Amino acid sequence: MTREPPATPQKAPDERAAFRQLYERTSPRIAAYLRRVTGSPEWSEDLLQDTYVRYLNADPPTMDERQTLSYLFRIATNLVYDGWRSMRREREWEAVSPAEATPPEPVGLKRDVEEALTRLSARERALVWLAYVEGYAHKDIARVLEVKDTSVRVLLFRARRKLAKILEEAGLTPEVLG
Amino acid sequence: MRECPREREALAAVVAGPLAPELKRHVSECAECREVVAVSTWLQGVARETGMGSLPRAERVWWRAEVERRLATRRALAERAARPIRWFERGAAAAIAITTAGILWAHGIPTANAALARLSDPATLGVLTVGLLAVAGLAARDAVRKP
Repeated sequence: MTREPPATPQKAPDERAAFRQLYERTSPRIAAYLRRVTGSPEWSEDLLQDTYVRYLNADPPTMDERQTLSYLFRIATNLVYDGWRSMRREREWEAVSPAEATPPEPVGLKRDVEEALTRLSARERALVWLAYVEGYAHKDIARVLEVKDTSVRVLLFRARRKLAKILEEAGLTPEVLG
Repeated sequence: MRECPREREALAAVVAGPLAPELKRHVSECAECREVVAVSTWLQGVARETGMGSLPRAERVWWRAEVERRLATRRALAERAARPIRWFERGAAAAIAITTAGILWAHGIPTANAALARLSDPATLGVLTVGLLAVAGLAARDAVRKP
C-alpha cells in the first residue's frame, strides 16, 4: 500500500507573487553584501539561496521593507558565520587570512578597492559595507551583526581607518574630493 | 576615537550626489568626515560595479523552500510516529531498573565480598546482564541518532 505524503501547508499564490517582488527588489543588495563579505562568488550564490529559503521557512512576523531587508542581512550574516564554523574557519570572521582570501575578479578602476577589502576581516567587511554602502545606522548594524551598539562604533571606526589607510597607501583619492 | 556630528550628513551627500560647497569645505577640514567620504565613495563605486548577472531566479528559490518545508513536515510526522516506541523502550528500561533495585532490596545490599560471591548466582547474573545490555543498547541508539 502506498501512503500519500502528509498534507503540507502550502503558501498562497499571492504570497508567492509577493515573494517574487521582494526577491527582485532585495536580492541584488544581499548578493553584493554576501559576495564582498565572503570574497567568493560561488559560495555567496549558494548563501543567497539559503538566505531566502530560511526567510521563507521561518514565517517571520509582518515587517516593513526596511525591517525585512535588515532581517535578510542578519540571516545572511549568520549563514556566513555558520558556514565558516562548519569548516572550522570561524576565526576568519574576526581575523584576516590573506592566504585563504580569494580576491574578487578585477572590475574596472575599482580593482584596488576590491583588493583592499580582502585585507580586512569578514566582520570588518560586513561593518563597512552595511555602514557605507547600505547607509545603516549603528543600532541597525548592531542588530544585523548581533553585537552591542557601543561595540559597532569602535569596530566600525577601526575598520574604516584600516581601509582608508590601505587605500591611501595605494595612492587612491576619491574624485569627489578633487 | 573621535566622531564628527556631520558624518551622517557627509555620507548622505555621497549617496545623493555632489557635495554642497559648504559641506565640501567642512569635509576638507575635518579628518573624520574626509575619511567617511573617501571610504563610502570607494565602496559605492565597488557596489555599482558588482555584476549581478547570475542571480538565481525567484521561482527556483521558492520551490527549494517548498521542498525543504515538506521534508521538515515528513520528518516531524515520522518523529511523532516513533514516539510510542520510545516510550515503550523507556518503560522497559525503567522496569528493569526497578526489578534490579527490588532484588537488591530483597536480598540486602551486599558487601564487596558477598557481591562477588552472589555474582556467581545465575539469577543475579542474568538480571544484571539484561539490565546492562538494555542500558548499553539505549545509549548506543541515542549516540547513533545524535551525530
